[in-house]
Amino acid sequence: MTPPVQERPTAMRADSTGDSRPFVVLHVEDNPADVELVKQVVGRSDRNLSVTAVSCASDALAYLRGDLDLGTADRPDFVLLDLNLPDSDGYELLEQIRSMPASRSLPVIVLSGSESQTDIQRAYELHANAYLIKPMHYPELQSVLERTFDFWAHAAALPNRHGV
Amino acid sequence: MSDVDAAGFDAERESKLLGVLAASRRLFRQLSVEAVASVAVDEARQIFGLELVAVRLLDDGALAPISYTAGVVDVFGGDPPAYPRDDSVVWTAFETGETQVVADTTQIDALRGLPVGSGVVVPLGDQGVFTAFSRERAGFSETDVRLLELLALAVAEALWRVKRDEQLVAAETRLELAVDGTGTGIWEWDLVENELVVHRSAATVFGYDPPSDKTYLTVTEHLEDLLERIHPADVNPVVERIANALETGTVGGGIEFRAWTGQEWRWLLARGQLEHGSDGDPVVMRGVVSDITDLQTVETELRRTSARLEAILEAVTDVVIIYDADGTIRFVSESVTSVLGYEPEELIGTKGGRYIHPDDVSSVLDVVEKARASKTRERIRYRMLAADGTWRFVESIGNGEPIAVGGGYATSTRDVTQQVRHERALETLQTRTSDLMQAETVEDAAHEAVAIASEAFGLPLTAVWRYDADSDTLIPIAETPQVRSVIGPAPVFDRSRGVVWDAFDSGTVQVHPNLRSNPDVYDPETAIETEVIAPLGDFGVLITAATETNTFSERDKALVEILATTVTAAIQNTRRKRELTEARRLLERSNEDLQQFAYIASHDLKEPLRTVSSYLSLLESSYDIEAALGSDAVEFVSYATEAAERMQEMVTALLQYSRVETHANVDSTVELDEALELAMLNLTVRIEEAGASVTTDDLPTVVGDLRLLVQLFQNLLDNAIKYNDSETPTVSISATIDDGRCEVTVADNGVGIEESMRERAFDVFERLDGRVGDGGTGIGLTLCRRIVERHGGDIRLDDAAGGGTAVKFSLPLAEVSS
Repeated sequence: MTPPVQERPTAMRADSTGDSRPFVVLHVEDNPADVELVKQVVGRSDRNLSVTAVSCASDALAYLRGDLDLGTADRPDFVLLDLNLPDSDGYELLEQIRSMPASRSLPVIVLSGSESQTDIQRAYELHANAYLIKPMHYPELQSVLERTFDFWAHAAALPNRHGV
Repeated sequence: MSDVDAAGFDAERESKLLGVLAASRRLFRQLSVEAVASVAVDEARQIFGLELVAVRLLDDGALAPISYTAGVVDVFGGDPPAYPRDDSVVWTAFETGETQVVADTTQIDALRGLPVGSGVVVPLGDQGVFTAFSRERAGFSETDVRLLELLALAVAEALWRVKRDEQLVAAETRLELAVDGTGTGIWEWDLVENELVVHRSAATVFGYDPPSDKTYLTVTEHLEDLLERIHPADVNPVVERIANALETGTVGGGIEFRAWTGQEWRWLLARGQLEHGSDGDPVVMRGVVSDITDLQTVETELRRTSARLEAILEAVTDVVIIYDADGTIRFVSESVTSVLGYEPEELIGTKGGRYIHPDDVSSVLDVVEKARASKTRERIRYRMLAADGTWRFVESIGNGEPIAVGGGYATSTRDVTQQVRHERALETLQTRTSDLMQAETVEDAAHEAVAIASEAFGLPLTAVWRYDADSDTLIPIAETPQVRSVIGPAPVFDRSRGVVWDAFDSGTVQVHPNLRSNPDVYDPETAIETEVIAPLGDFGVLITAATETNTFSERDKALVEILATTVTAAIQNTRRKRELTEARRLLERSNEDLQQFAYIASHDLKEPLRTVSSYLSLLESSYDIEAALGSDAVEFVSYATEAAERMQEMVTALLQYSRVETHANVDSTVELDEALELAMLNLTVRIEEAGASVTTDDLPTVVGDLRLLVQLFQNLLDNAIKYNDSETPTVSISATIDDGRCEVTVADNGVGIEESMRERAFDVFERLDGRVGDGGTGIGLTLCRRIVERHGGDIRLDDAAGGGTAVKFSLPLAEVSS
């Protein structure tokens, strides 16, 4: 059942191949203000990024399974996850994402307001790829998200999600 | 809250009650009137904290002070005077037998002009009074008066016991005087040791000088020496009689002979008998010897002596029993009929041992042996068989020295059944008081109370009612099984039952000796005739009843009263416990709230704040606000940004504040030098920017939490620099050590805090500056206080030399001080 892994390093995909397909971010967040902030980051960035936002866990799962059409053709390359969701807590969603073959190896970055050690630890135990604390000011958010996207889009080698 | 006051007051009453119970036991051990009076005064002073206490006893028609506190001497400017009979409250108390409480003492002539305000005079039976005064007016609560009465009861009892002993001594002395006057004396001749013991009145008869300091003269005499002083003509009959007595074991009638006193021959009449050892050999011969030279006179005196003896014995209300050496009862006073139900003749000639309870025989014999060996008076309590076949507790005082007339041992015996019951009841009450105080619920306390009444006090018809304010009724909550079998389930009392409500409403014990004679107050169908109704504070009542009229003694009443007092204390204790449990529960919940709050502060509160900050910074970084909205808008945005920054600091500080409780381990050893160093490291930039100078002494090692203590120093240093308009802000840190603690001073040359504002400075979000510095969260000092208090210390603000502020806080020192 494991999806075949292609040898092509994804890190080279976006720019050096001249591929115009952007690095697609799925933002799971119920707070419209935060959704807008991330949109601003993506919109203002000179990276080739696109963001799709869902506001609850069930939409996120449906979208990852391919059951929900959000009008975007591309599957996500990356999940930005808030832990506070209306229909489930972020940890449950994280667990479900890790249990589905289609998204098992998808990078999931937790973006949370909580500085609590318990929250941070639990996120990593459930195999989050990173835990980011939401900064207080916009410029810092811009900088931390861009560096994160750069890493996952260019530095990290990931299995090919599009060959499935 | 008034409940707290009430609880405090009850704890005091409880300890006073226990004090009085302990004092009673101490009083009963005293052997003289003076000792009883002195202990009574001492105990009253200690238990009630009274400085003006005296015991006055009736002496020669006046109430004379026997013992009193030093305060009384101060008040009178010397020893207090005796009060001759007058109509003052002191005499009123004595003559009516009722406690007199005087809220204003100026009405007592003898005390007018003296610095006392109020007083209580409690009668000590028919013996005197117990007086207690206070310098204040109305200085005695009703509880104090009741407890003083209880103490007085014990004092009167103790005095009575001592007097009874003295009476017996006096009776014996009079007997001896009577004997002295007759020239008749008893003698005892130990045949084994050849030792002759003679009463001093008979010494001359045998030719010895009478001892002046002893009642009995003991000399070593052999029969031959004794015979040498007998008239030659009388030697043979005497020797024959002795030989015959030794041979047959009986002495027979008296023998007359002449004996040489050293100056003249006197005619003597000797009577006596033999006592045999366990092997049957005679060991002691003892008897009476009279000088019959002037026979006529002697016989007259003997008759008179005998009559006087009878009179003395009858005057004593106790049963006087004279036993022979072998325990045979030789004499019993008439009072035995009223005390034990026997006629004196029934007992005379029988063995005393047969009336002693089998379990008590050996202890009685031990005491008898001890008394006789040491020739002292001894007291023992045991059970004696009454004529009706019941065992009665009696107390006997016996003299180990044989009685002067005709030998034998005198004892004085008194029925103490009531007293034993009373003492046991008090003892039981004391041991069970602790059980009672452990009661978790009001119902437990009530059940324990009726159990104590029934099992310990012998008051089986006892029940407890709880006052129900909603229905204005008294509802039964505990009753003995006997109550159920006599009257069925205890009834609910509504207001129609006046007698019960009288006690509850007035808070005083009501005794109804004959309920049936007053059909208005009770259901004529009931079997109950007598009731003692004791109020239990505002909680309810305790009722003890009996099916016969007038069955309760003063002691029973006192016991019920003590029990009621104790139960009330226990009930209030359960209330206190419940309040404590509730307070603890609230505290736990508030701790949970605090942790919940920490989460809210860290997340829910921060979340919207972050959104505000983010969007403000988005605005500032992405738009030319001045161009788009005008120059005022730049200012507005910066105000909003500043406010958001401050709010964020406050949220962070609140979070720290709540974590002092939840995330601290204050048991570690912390070097304060290290804590300060870390705090200064965290503040490096701030100190440099302000150009501040921080100086420090060597600081000690304390017990605490390093993280919190770093936070403490950091906050204090931050404040010292922040609220400072000096060119060079200076902070000096020093410490002093005293008695296992250290006091650290953080002094600055800043703006200082006015004395009236210092306490407010510790309130949450209180900011006192408003003129200097860049503001703060207002939680800094509150956090400091919380940290210091979490370490068991305290913190305060003081002036620093030079006008700034000195913050002083104490911490526990570690075992090994650096």
